[in-house]
Parts: sequence; C-alpha cells; structure tokens
Amino acid sequence: MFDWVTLLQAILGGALNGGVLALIAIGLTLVFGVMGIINFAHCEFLMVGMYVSYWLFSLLGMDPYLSVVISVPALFVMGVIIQRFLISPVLGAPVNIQVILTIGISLLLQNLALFLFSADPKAINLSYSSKLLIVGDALFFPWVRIYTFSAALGLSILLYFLLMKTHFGRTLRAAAENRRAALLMGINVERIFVLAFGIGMACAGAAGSLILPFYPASPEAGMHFIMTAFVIVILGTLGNFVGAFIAGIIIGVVQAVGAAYLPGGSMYEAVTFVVFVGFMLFRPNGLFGRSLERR
Amino acid sequence: MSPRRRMQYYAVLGVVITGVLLCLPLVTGPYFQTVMISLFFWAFVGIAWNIMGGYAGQISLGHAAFLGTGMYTSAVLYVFWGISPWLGILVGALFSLGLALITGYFSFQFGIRGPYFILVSLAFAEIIRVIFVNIPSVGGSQGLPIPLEEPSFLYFQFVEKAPFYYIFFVLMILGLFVNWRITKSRLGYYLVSIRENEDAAATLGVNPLKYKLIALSISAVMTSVGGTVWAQYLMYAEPSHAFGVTMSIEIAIRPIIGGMGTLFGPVIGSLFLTPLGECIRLFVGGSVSGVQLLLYGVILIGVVVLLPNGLVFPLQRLLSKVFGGKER
Repeated sequence: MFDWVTLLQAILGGALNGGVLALIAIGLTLVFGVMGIINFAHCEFLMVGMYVSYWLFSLLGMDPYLSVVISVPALFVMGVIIQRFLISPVLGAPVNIQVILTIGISLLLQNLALFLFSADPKAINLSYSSKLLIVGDALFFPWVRIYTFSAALGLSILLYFLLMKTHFGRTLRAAAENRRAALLMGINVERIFVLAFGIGMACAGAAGSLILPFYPASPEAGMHFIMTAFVIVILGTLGNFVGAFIAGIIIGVVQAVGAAYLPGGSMYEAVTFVVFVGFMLFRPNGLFGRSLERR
Repeated sequence: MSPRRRMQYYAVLGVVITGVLLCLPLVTGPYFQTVMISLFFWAFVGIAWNIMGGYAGQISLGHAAFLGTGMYTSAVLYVFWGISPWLGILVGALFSLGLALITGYFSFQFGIRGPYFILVSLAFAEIIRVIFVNIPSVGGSQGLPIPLEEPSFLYFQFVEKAPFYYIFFVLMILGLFVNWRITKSRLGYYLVSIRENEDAAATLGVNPLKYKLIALSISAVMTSVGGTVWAQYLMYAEPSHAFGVTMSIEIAIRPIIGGMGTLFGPVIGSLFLTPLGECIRLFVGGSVSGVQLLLYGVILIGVVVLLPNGLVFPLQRLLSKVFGGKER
C-alpha cells in the first residue's frame, strides 16, 4: 500500500514552509519588479531580522512573533538607508556592477554578523516550541510552523492590499510597469524606489523573525535561503507578486517531498537547483509568463 | 612624450621591474617570498578569471570548481599512484576543460546569463565541494595531505619557497601573455562584443555560445593549472578551501577591483589586496576569515560606488601624470 501518510505529511509540511519562503521571495521580486535590481544581499537582511529578534528575545524576553513589529520597521529603515546611499548611484549602471555591489553588501553583512556574533548558531526555545498539532494520529505539525505560516500569509495579504488597493500601491505598480511614464505622470519615482526597497527588506527581515522559533540564527543563514529565493522568484515570474507567493508554496512542497524521499540530508537543495536549471532552460518567464524584459 | 617614447619607457620599466622581482628571492626572507607567492598566484588566477569575467563579461563565482579540480587531480594522482604533478597539471586541466564545456554548454545554450549565471556557477562549485566532502577515500572533509619527500623538480617537491616564487611569477607572466594575445586577436574582439551587447553581437554573426565556451575553457584550464601548483605549494588539498565560496570570491575580487577587462587589472588588484590580507592576518588572527571578507565587502562596495572601472584607470592617470604625455 502506498504510504500516503508520508506524502501528505511532506506536502502539507512543505506548504507550511512555503509560506515564509514566499514572503522572502515576495520581497525579492518586488525589488526586481520596481527597480530592476537583482539583490544578492536580500537574504542577508533575513539574517539581520533573525538576529534582531534573537536579541530582543534574549535580552527582553520578547516573543519572536511579537518582535516582527520591531524588525519590520527596523529593516525598512535599514533598507531605505542602503537604497539611498548605495543602490541609488548604481541604478543606471550595467547589471554586472549592480550585482557586484549587492554581493559586496552581502559579504559585508554576513561577515559583520560573523565578527559580532560568532559563527555559532543561536537557537531560541519557546515554551510552545515543541507543541505539535496532531491530525488523525498520523500527521504531526509543530504549532510554531503553523503560526509562522499564518503570519507570513497575513503579511503577504497585507502587502497585497497595499499594492492593489492603495494610492501608494498604484504609484508603485506604475513605476514598475513603466518608469518613464510614471515620471511623466508626476510620480516621484525616486521616492518609490526607496520605499520599495525598504518594503522588500522589511519582508526579508520579517521572514527572519518568523523563522527564528525553529531555525537558529547564524551568519550563514542567509546563504541557505538565497538559492531557494531566486528559484521561487523565477518560478513565479520575475516581478510577479502573486506568482512569487504561489511559487513559494510550490517550492516549499517540492523541497519537503524531496527531503522525504531522497537519500541524504541536503539533497533537497539539489532538487531546488534542478528546478532552477530546468526553469532557466525551458521556461525562463516562469509559470505566469510575464515578460522578463523591462522597458 | 610621443607614444613611441612612452612605449619604450614602459618596456624598460617592465624589464627593470621584472629583473628586480627575479632577484628579490636572493635577498629576502621566506616571509616576503610567501606574500609574493600569494600575490603572484592570486594575480594569475585572477587573470584567468578575467578572461571570462572581464573580457567576456560573464561573472562567475564558481571558479573554485576549476581550481579545486586542479588541486585534487594532481594531489590524488601523486598520492595514490605516484604520478608527477607535471602530468597532474595536464590531467587536471583536462578535467577542468570537461567541466567547463559541460556547465558552459548547459548554461549558455539555454540563455543563463548575468546574475543567473553567477548563481549557477556558485551552486556548481558548491555541489562539487559537497561531493568531495563526502568522499572519504580522498580525505573527505579533512582533506588530502601531500607527503613531503625529498626535494625533486620532477615531482614538484621543493623544501624552500624560492622555487615556488619563480614558478608562480612565471605563471603570472605567462597568464599576462596569454591574455595579451587574446586581446590582440579576433577572439578578444568577439568576447568584448559579447560583453557589451550579446544580442547585437549575435546578429552580426558572432556565435555567443561558441566564444563564451572558448573563453570559459581557457579560463578554466588556466585556473586549474594554478590550482595544481597551489596544491603542491600548500602540500594539502581540502574541499572547503579548494572548492569553497571563499576561494571563488578571492579569485574574482582582485580582477573586479583592479579593473575587469583590463590586462593589469588582476595584477593591480592582487597588489592591493594580497598584502592587505596579510596585514589583517597579522593583526587579527582568530576570526581572520570574517574580518578579511568583511573588508572585501567594504572594498567591493567602495569600488563600485566610487571607482566602477576598478583601480587600473586612476592608476593609469597617475602614471601618465608622472611620466608626462597625454591622458588617453
């Protein structure tokens, strides 16, 4: 008899993970969609968010889910500053230069964390960390993962409304769709860029806070997610917000199923890599096919 | 000063500097030689990287794959079968060539460019690293030490540093020569055209796939050769060092900040960064890896924002001012 339980566990567990992966990817795709920058340092901001929440927990006993309230604005501000001083100057430069810049930022953040906090992973233990939701005596889901998924979903929905229903969101989408036309319409594109980058980083930071309950903070945490984040963004089509979310869930599931059925501990990363290469080869426009090239 | 006089001046300068560098090991101690060896080595692999990253415009953060292949191939051949590393160089180069052709083909044929190519190259080197960490017979994560036997040119064993000084220096010069020849050849122009606008180049009849593959192959083979010699110098091959992201970054950063797509960029980059790295090592010791890479991050950011074309051009201007003549 086919082992449905393992499969179902993997699929549902993977979907739960996918929620926060989606949040990470949304930030990345937003920055690309609006500014055309592929931010290698994106997941380092996730790492920063993790550390912010970690220290808030260690020093003040603040629950990581609560600390999102702090990490989001903090990372937003950080993103704004970085955009204003580092990213802005290179917006017109060739892609290679932009990429090198973000790699430099990534190196800086990673090693600053290494220098300040050492390489030891810092895990936190909440009173409810080990509580499980048991379904039908066969499926086990840690409550923290469910909370994280819900929070990520909530934030994503919030962002969706921000983008779709508010004036600000409209101006942002306009700037993303056609920078010049937006400028001609009197939209302060420069300010949009700053805000968009800030939001993108805030997403990453929030994701960092949200995964802290089950993922220890370490300087290399960012590196673990960056490949996955890029794959999700491509899968969901670069610049496509909803696509990123759906792709996030899909990749979450794919990774979990891969981990369940493939031998070896980190083979699921190979799966991600295979998906990445596969999409680059056959469908670089992602699942939702919007044009990669921006005007 | 007329251009001709300037060329003569530079030629003389080049000969003098080369002469001095060649004589230095006779009057300096092993520490100085160690730093210079590193300088030449990183300059050489930087030149190799530059052919791909600077001239062809395809930045790769996975060159450690080729370097590590060079390191391990010769190390394994020597340790297990007593084969001279001179042969190991060739075999390693062959393997690296194969790797380059395979990954290059699959990347370029299917349009993996720019940041995506960076990611693919990163992932590629990482996969190889993980593979080697999981092969106990070649040392696994502990690595493979190369036993020191009697000094022998045939088996690339030297007790003193001086021979390596000369070998790496010669490698660097050879690298510069190869690079120079490429710049002067059709290949060089094709690569630059691909870098500047791949699609336009394609419409003009330049086959991007073919020439990117050629560039990558040359780059990989050179890197691999450097790796083999480096392994013999270190007397050790270890996966995280040989194939790690840090190695790829070290390879790439010197040409990047020195000046991508220029002949002396990697050399200048190495001239600037290598002694800096040594100083950091002296001062910090413990968390060296962190501080050094942190500095690299800061320097990268600084260079991109302030000197996007690298250090070469301001330096060129400086030299022109010193020696007179028009600024080009």
